[in-house]
Amino acid sequence: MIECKKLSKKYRSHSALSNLNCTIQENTITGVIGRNGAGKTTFMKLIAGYLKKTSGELHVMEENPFTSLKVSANSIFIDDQMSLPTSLNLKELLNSFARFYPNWNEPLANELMTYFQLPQKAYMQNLSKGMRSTFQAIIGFAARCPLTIYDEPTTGMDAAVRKDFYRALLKDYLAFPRTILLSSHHLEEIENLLENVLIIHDQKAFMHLSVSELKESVVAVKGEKAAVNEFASMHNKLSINESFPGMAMAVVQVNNYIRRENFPHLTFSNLTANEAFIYLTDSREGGIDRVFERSELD
Amino acid sequence: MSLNEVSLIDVVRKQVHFKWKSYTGIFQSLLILQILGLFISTLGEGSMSEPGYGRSISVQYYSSSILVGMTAMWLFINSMLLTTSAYREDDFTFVSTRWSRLLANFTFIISLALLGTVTSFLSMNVLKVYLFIKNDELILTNSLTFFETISSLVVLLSYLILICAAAYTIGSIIQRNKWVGFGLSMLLIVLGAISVDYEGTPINFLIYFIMFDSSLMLLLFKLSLANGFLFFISWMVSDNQEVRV
Repeated sequence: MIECKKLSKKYRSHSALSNLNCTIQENTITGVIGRNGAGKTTFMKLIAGYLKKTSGELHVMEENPFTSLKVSANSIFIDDQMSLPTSLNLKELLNSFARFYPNWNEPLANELMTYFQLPQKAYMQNLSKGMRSTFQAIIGFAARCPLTIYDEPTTGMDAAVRKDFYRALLKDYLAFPRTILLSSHHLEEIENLLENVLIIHDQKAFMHLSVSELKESVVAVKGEKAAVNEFASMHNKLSINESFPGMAMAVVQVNNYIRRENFPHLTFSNLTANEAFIYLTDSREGGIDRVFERSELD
Repeated sequence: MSLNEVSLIDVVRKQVHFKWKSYTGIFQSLLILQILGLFISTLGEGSMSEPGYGRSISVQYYSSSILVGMTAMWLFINSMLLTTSAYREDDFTFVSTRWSRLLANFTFIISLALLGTVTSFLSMNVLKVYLFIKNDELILTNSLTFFETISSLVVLLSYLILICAAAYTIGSIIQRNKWVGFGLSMLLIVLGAISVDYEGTPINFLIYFIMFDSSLMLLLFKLSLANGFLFFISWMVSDNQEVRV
């Protein structure tokens, strides 16, 4: 569905993506995860054909999305800054979408509008932030585009609506399989939903793997300081700290299966996908604590 | 899920339909401007009186040129506004490419020009009816034959389309680079103002060559060429434009 080779995007003053390589298969749900400013939104806007790539190759549905009518007709980009005409009410907006998108599922749109208690006669500018996001999410479901891109779709939604949204997304995906890209800051909320995770870090596709692989790739070990240090030095150490004198906890990236019985003095624990992601993309040694320690020294 | 094949013409048709439905502000402003124009027109353009012995002649002129002028202004402003990012981002929320958007916008501004022509013509008749009712003096109107009326409307329409196309092109350039667009417009206005009155300058020649021709067909042909040229420039300028940067 999507193929990127050495994809780069530069804005006037800075570069947002450089040499990104990835392939996204048809009919998968992929989470696009990254720290703030990593380039997630730029990546998604490039795919949606909003932005023009600076260099490299990008094929969506085997075409260049920037000029392709086919890509535009078969994809939809949903985010909280979605631009909609203020002169139309919600019902009229839905009708406009129905004219443009051939797969439009009108009964579903109406049912969801009723369920989330969105008044059909209301205008976008009068809705609250969460309701606006909900309405945009409904558009995403009902359009049934072969490529559906959600960029931070749950902004402003309360916890109950977020939960409903994820459930609706999954149900809708099972009923009408399609390629979904979903970016969110709450990986812990969506990890059960995702098949694959694409981690964008430092403007590159840092990792592209399944959720379970992501969880397995990072492990936390606890134990006596010397033993932990020895273990950590054999693997890619991500973080280490002393919990109390003599004892330490380390987080390491592992490439292959570890026989835990070989290390009787250490306690292993698995991390959630979200914790794994945070440790993997945390480049600053010592974390936020270090900043405060330094400023106190002055 | 299988991909849908779409035709360009179909998408352009849907976009034009969408614009007609959602750009309600544009039509409201036309209504207000036309009413205002009508009101101003009823004041008359000028008068002439000739006193004499035992009789006097007084002539009051009325014309719809203010109405047409206001319509032209309305078209100019709205065609330019169509190129702004608010409208552009709306278009890309739905199905659109840069090419289909340009086609849809040009179709839309041509239909706006048509609307402007028809409403000005109708308002002019409202003005006539009003004057007939109000005055019981002698009224002379320039009586045109059916063909003359039609051809004058066609010419008006073509001029209005030219205004739209020019405004859209200037707007597109401004969207790409504010200063180039601004500078170019100022240059055109200043140079235009200076050289319209002086024969022999290139702009004067160009304006007279394009805008005045005694043959209707030749005039329409020249205007279409000018429109085609402006369309081409708009395309060149907006082809690479990104949305929602």
